[in-house]
Amino acid sequence: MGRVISIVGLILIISAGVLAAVSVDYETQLKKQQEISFKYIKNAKEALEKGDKQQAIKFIKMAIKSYPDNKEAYKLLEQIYKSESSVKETKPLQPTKPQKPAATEEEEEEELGC
Amino acid sequence: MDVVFPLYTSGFLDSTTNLWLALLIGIMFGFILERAGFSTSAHIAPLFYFRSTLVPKVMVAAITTTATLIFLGVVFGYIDFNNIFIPSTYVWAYLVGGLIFGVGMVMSGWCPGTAVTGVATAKIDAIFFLLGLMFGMFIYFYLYDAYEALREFANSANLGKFTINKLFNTPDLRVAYIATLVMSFGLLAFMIVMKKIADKKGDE
Repeated sequence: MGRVISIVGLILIISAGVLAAVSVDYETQLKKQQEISFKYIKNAKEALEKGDKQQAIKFIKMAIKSYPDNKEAYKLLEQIYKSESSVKETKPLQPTKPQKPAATEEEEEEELGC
Repeated sequence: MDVVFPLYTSGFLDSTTNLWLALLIGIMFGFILERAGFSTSAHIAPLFYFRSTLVPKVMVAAITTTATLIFLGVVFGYIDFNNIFIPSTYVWAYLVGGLIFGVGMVMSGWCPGTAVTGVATAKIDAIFFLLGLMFGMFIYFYLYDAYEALREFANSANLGKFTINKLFNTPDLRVAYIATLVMSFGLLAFMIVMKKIADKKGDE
């Protein structure tokens, strides 16, 4: 009895696979891959809401890996990196010496003593 | 959170949970191997003399079920195919290693996975097989470290992640899926025919 159930189960599973192979073309496979990429983006946004930037970056990288043309992924990554760099830039900048304007050919000659 | 498989590489599981899950799946895998009759060497060695088709039947059922579920998972958007681990193909190392593996398997009647099931069901020969296997691994690691020529040989002819899709130069997963089905059932048919021929010779 168990053997019959196993064989019937195997036939059913393989039939489902063959049916999918017949009905799902390559374009649909690509679309599904893109959907997975957007699932990662959704998860990244949720991670960001929780304040977990590292996890969000991990999800975004997965999104890019599964669909390299995902513009939203790059934008989100840019936002995260910008927000990180703005935190780092809160240090007061050291005053820099004013730079000399570029010397003309005549001035250069004078400096060289020609 | 939308779940995408495989859970660990897709960032849904931490490594600790992943290891506990691996242990659980390993126990289930061992139980199924045992129930399929793989916990005795008497079922494995006859495969090489075309006296039994048990191993190919179980293997083909496992391969086709897994291939189908992965294929369905990908086409319905639940599995990220890019995150599935695919080991690199080292042609010469695989050929030589496969030959040694096959000779060891026909001599002992065990393969590494089934031997662990054999140990779990207290088979003395499986214990000796596993000890021999670990000793062989230890020797290989030593030789691998010691000899540059062996390292060069083991890493030669690296084809990278060589898949059926790469072989046929197409990204369409249906090709890989159908090829897997054809090869699996072709192997099973070959084994069944060979067993019938061997049985006939035995009768004569």
